[in-house]
Amino acid sequence: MNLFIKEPKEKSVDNFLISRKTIVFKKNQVIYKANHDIENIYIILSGNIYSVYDKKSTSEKNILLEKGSILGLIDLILDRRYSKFMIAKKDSVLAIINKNKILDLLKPNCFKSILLKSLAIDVDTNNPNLWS
Amino acid sequence: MWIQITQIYGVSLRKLFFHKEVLLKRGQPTNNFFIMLTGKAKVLNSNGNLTIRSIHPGEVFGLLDNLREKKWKNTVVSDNKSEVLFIPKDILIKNIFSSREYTSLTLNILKMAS
Repeated sequence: MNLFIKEPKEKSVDNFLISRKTIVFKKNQVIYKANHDIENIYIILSGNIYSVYDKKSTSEKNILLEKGSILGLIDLILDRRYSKFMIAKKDSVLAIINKNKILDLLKPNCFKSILLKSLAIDVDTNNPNLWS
Repeated sequence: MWIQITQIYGVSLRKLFFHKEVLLKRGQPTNNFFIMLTGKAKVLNSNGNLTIRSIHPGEVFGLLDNLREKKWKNTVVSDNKSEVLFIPKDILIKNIFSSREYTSLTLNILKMAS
């Protein structure tokens, strides 16, 4: 389904959100669907992705995401399934980050983690049409 | 959790409020946030005559405002008797920007809120 996935020759240690594992999505290809379990989050390296709340919703509700946007981060932090459909508007390259890389940081009963989750809840509550 | 916080940071900002007593006042500097321990609080609209949100035990209030706003946009009042743990903004900043990883996650979350 996907064109190709490049695997890293060595692990990136400089920045945990840098990934050398990339994937190409063709125009109109689905990156992930709402209500599916989260395995990865994605960062747009090039191209554009539509965040679609509901496939039946009007196009005005769709959010067009550009280079640098992270897909699935809020969903992962809030420990829920993907909340949006993500569809490539045109051919796009995305970096893949495994969920465990983030979850390893979010330890239960850790004050920092609680603060970060609370911040994510705040952002999610105050921005109902967030791309998540 | 507040016991853990006070032990770690040596802060003791647990406060009791009576009915309708003001926890946070619109226009005051955002120099702390709070965790609702018991009771309930109401967030009022800018005119102060409508409740736009309720805050329940276990909920944290004011994180986003602490990071984005200089002053509180809304007044928060106690609904009946309540107990709150205030935590200074400094502690928030020190924790969520404590490492490159947390800084990156925080900035990406804030980007979504902009």
